[in-house]
Parts: sequence; structure tokens; C-alpha cells
Amino acid sequence: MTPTTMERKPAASRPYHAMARFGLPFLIVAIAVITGIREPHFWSLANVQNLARQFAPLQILVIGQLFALLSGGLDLSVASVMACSGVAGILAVPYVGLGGSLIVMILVGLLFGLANGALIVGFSVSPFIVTLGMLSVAKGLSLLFTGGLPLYTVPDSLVDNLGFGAVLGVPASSIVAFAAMLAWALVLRNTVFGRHVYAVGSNAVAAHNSGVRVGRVLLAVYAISGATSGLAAIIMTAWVSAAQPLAGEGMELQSIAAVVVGGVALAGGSGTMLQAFYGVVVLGLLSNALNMAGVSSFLQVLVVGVVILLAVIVDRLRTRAAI
Amino acid sequence: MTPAPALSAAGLYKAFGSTQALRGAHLDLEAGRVCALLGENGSGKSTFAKIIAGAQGADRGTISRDGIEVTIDDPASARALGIAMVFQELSLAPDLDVVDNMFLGRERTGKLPGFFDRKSEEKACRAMLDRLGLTLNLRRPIRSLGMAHKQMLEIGKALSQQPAILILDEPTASLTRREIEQLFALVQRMRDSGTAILYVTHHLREVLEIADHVSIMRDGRIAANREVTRQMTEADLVELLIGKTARLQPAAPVASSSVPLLEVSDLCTSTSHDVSFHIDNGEIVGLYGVVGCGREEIGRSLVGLHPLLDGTVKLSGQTYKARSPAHALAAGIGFLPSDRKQEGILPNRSIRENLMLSNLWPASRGGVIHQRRERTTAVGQLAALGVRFASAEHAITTLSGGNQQKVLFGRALAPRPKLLVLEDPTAGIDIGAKHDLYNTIRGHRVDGMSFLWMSSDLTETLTLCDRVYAMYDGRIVSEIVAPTMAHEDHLLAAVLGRGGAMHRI
Repeated sequence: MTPTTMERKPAASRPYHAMARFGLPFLIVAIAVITGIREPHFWSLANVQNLARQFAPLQILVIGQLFALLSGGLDLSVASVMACSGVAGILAVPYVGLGGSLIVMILVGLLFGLANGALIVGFSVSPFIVTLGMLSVAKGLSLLFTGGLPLYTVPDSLVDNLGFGAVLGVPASSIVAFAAMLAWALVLRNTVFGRHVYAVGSNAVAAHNSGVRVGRVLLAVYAISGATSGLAAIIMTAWVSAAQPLAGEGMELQSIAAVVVGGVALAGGSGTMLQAFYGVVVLGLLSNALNMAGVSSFLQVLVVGVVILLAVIVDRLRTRAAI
Repeated sequence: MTPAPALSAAGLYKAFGSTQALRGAHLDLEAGRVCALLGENGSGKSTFAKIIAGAQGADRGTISRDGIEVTIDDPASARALGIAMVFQELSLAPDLDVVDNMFLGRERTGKLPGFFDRKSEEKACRAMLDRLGLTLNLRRPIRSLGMAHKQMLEIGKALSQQPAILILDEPTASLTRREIEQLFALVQRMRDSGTAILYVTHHLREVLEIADHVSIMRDGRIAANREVTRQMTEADLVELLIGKTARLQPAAPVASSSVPLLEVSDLCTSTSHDVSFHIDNGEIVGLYGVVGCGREEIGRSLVGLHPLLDGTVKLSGQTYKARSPAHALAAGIGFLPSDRKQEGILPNRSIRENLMLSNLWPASRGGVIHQRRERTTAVGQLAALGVRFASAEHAITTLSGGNQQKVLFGRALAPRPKLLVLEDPTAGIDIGAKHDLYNTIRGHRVDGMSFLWMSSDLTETLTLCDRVYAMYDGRIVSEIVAPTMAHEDHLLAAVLGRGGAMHRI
């Protein structure tokens, strides 16, 4: 046996790595092209703008969800905190004006997030239970304050500018969403805090032993999730021209699904903002394409479910190959 | 004709990403003999052992059992062939208790199918613990046990399968002398009853003590095979291993300053009472004792990981009480835990991120990390630590256990603490890496850094430390100034409670 003739075997993980890096963008392009050929209307400015506006709230919610998942937890309360922040903000308009109401929305979201974080850290309770409870608390408060009815007292200027406004054809809500994603992506990638989020999600005990203040990191993570839910509330109320107590029901699960479809590890510690973005686009595009193709909404639900399951399987194959 | 070996592995190849761990390794194991597999970190020993035990698959190669070629796909098929392995990284389920772990995957079923027989499991478990010389509450969760107890249980788990082939991968990494002797007695009994044993280690002394045969692994191949004879010395093994002669140099004593860096008075934790000791600037102080003597809790109480019940600690003359490792580090006390897998590494992060975790602030401005500066710092430190790596961006889990330990050591050193508390820092590290580590420590000591050295290795404790405290049953029973190997018997007697009243030599 002459070991010199032994060539290096290509790593088994390469195909899966390639799939992770280029698979989703490719899938996105494929869906867009196929739908565009079948339905030329798909590429119309109106539809693209409409799509971008549709994506925006989920795009923002996914930011907080990504932080929570990366830190090894999750946040089930994002959607109902968004609804509650929207309700609180619109109710506050007569007292604090439009600008003040936007700040109220973000602050209410931040408070919910801090409450989540304080309970998770202070009592060492699992994020699943705490945020599940908070989901219900926020929803209950929204229903109490509105009597269960939508508030239509959204200032017109908010709806006109943020809901349906555009700069050079790009919807304003989309600009806000992209700016938020980019800013938090930079925090995640380039700051000590971002690095600590990954460390805590990867091995909280090791991070603690190495001098990372795990409690503070988690508190900040859920505060970010709450505050971004507040930001999503602004976009959401502007877009639907109303503050609905049950706005975005089910979006907490959509946000988790999007992040996981993007390839972020459910167990925490690995994943990027770009992956989360891909996840949002794939899920959003898929339902839009199915809509245009005239697929029944019942079947759509099924297809989306299958895509999520496929994403999880691909994730497993990839991590197994990487070990 | 000689009988076929109990187990023969031939031409094993295995690659991890771009790292070629095994390149045609060949080894035979014979019934009733202990074969030691000796090699440096990253030489492929653990990979070789894991392939035989079915924990990993080989890319190429054949394995024969009693001359018949077999396929080992997973640990279950290895077990069916009578192969049991004690893993270097423990494979215990932390939330299950002692008994449940002992029988994990092969629960004894009772009269009703699917229900296991608790009584018979408990009885067998107790018998095994007796053989191991352990007294433990059978229903204690593994999480609550110390590293050495976990390791002994891992060994017991493998032994209780009564395997025909037993693989031990660095089994003594966090055991003290007393437990090692117990383990060796057990291994010898198994060998005499016909078990073929593969003993993976880099403790030269253990090879001479327990092995009949030694195989040297270098760069994924078996580089040498020797029968272990009475004439063989550690120097012979070192020569085989690294092809040059190396000696463990005793530490030069360092002049002590007037104000001690750390002064501990009458410290009480859940397992120790009235412990008093001090550490001077630039001093390496050893704390030695058998498992359960309470030293682990003392070390951890200094960094806020274990409650400090009573007593005072002064750091540079100031009263000090750690609330958390972060707080301790800010005050100047760093910590390196012994359980690498559970408490040390960030498994799905890169080597660079693992190394830099405690030292990100110097490489950043206003909380924003300077990416290029971080990368250069990391690569420089990895080279200085002697880590064998393909790229600093690969996951830390692509490194061998010993190289992972070097990275964690680098992480603990990087913030330049005044005092570094080390729990078994050389567990699972080969002799070359140990020397690198000793030299690094001595280099930092010259700069005034101090070390609280809590190793299970008697030899290195005596040769590296400036002073050694011996602990027995929660108390310090002896202090040795400027220790040498001549103090071995004294220290052993002290930690086993046979040293009489507290004394200082």
C-alpha cells in the first residue's frame, strides 16, 4: 500500500454545503421564472410591489425570531405582541400624535420583550413556555382594549406614506424592512454582542464559564425580538389601514418556519440573517405563485407544510455530513 | 499455525473534510493481551478506536473478527460482535441516573415485555460499582456527578457488557492515582480472563504499567510495533513517539513577593471546611487530592460557579467574592473547566470563534469587532499554541480532543488574567502538547501570571508546581514547597488520609 497514491477524498459535506449556500437562491429564481412564464402578470411592477409589501411585516418579525432561535430559544409571542403594540399605538394617537404613536408601538413591543427576557432569565424557565404565556397575555390585552373590534382610526398620512408609499418604485415598508434586517445583520455579524448570541446558543454553560454574561445576552435577545415586533406593528397597521387585535395570527409559526426553511439550526448557535431572509422569500413567493396558478388555498397550506418538512430534512442531512 | 487475532483492522482510511485522519492504519488485537495505542494529538488514535467501536464509519478498509471479515455500521453491531468501548468524550445521558445510564440501550426486561427489571438492574449496577470501588447513590442524576465519577461510570458501563474486545480511549484523563490503580486491576483481571484490550493513551507510564504490546500511531498510520518489556523505559517510548529525546524539566522556583495575589482563609464550601491557602504573584500552586476531596468545589467557588459558604478571599489585598465567571474574569481570575464537551467548547462554531470568546474586546472598538484584526490574532495564537488545524474557520469539532483542549487553554489565557484556575488542563493531551503547555505556562509565570493547578496527574503536579497543597476529605492536610518526584510517596499518603496531622515540608 503506497499512501502517496492516496488522493484526498472530496468531503462528503460539499454537495450539502453547496445546497445550503446556493440551493435557496436557486429555488427562489426557479419559482419566479416558472411563475413568470406561466403568468406574465407575475413580473408586473404592481405584483412585485404588492409582494414586497406583503413580505415586509414577516421580514421584520423574522429578525427577532432569528435572534431567539440563534440564542437557543424561540419567541412564540412575536405576532400577538405585534398586534398588541399596534392597538396600543393607535389608541395613543389622540394623546401623543402620529410620531408619538409610532414610538409607543416600539416601546410596547420592547416592554413585552423585556418581560419575556426577565422571566426566562430570572426564573430559568424555558422560552417556549414563557413566550407561549406572553402570546396569550398580549392577545388578551389587545382584545380587552379594543373589545375585539379593529381600530380604523389609523392616521391617513401613515397609511399613505408607509402603507402604500414608494420611493423610486420601492415600497416604503420594504425599505424599512430591509434597513432593519441589514442593521441587525450587522449587529449579529460584527459585534461582540452578536458573537455572544451565537456562543450562548451553541453552549450556554461554556459561554458562562468563559465570562459571557449569559443572562444579559438573553435579556437583550428577547428585548430585540419585542422591539422588532413593535416595528412590524407600524408596518402592519399602515399596510392594512387598521389596528386589529388579532392581526398576524399564525405569524409566530410562519416566522419560525421561515427561519428554519432558510437553514438556521433549530437547536441554536448557527445561522445568518441572509438565511432567514431567503426563508421569508421562499415561503412568501411560494404562496404568491400558488395563488397565481389558481391552486386552492387548502392545497397551498399543504404545500407550504411539505416545504417546511423538506427544509428540516435538508438541514439534518447537512449537519450530519458536516460532523 | 497461530490462531487468527481476535480483531484485525487493516487498511483503514478516514477523512474529515479536508483532514485525512487515517491513512491505511493496520492493527491486530489478540485475546488475553493489552495493546496500547500511543500517539500525539490528531494522530488518529481516537478515530481508529471509534471506527472499531462503530461510532464512526471508515472510508475504506476491512475489519475481521477471529479471522472472519465483518462490517461494523453502528455501536449496536459492534456490541453484537462483543466489542465495547469507553469513549474519551463521555457518552452518558446527563439527566438519567446512575443505573439507567449503566444499562442504557440494553435495559434488562422484566416479566412484562417492554418494562424493565429495576431490581435486577440495581443489583448488577451496585456490584459493578463495588468492583470499581465507588460508593454512589444509584438514583443520582449523572449531571450532579463530578468528572471523575462520570468517567468511572463510563468504564463500568463498558465492563458490564462483559465484552470479548474492550476499547479504552484515554480512560484515565481525569482520574487520580487511586482510581487508576483500581481501573488497572480491573483491566488486568479482564485480560487474564481472555479479553482483548485496546488501550488508547498518551501516558507513557500507563503503557509500561498495563500494556503487553505497544503500537505507535503517527499521521494516521501505525508507525511502530513493540513488545513491552521490563527493560523498556519512558524515554524509549518518547523516542518511538516523536523520534527525539525529551525530558520533563523541573520548574525553577520563583522568588515570592510580599503581598500574596490570592489569600484564602477558612473557606467553607459544601464539601470542604476551613481551607486556607495563598498564591503569590507568578506562582504555580497545585491542589491535589482524590475524587471527592472537595478541591473542585474550591476552584469553582473562586470563579462564582459554586457557593462559598464561609471564610474570606482576598485578591491583591482586597476582599473578593465572585458572583459569576464574568465577574471573576473582570477581577482578574480566569477559569478552564475540565469537562471539555459539556462546559468548554461551542460545538457548532469555528475554531476562531471558540478561541476568541473571552477576548473579543481588545479586537473591537465600541463593541464592533474588527474582523481582520480578530483573524490575525486568532491565527497567531493558534500557531503559538501548536494547534494542528486546516483552517481557523472550520468547526472546532473537526479538531481532535487534544487540539480542542489547546484552543480552550488559549481562550483562558488570552484575557491575561492575574490568576488562572485550571481543572485538569492536560487531560487528553499528548506529551508533545503537554510540553508546549508547560512552557506556555512558565512563560506567563515570568510575566507575573499565577496558576491554581488542579490536575489529576501526579507527575506533572510535582514537577510543574512551585508549591503543592494536598487535600483529603475537604481539608488541606499537607503543603509541599518546591516539590520534586521524591515527594511522590508523601503526597500519595497525604491525599489518602494516611499522612497524619497537617504538616508542611
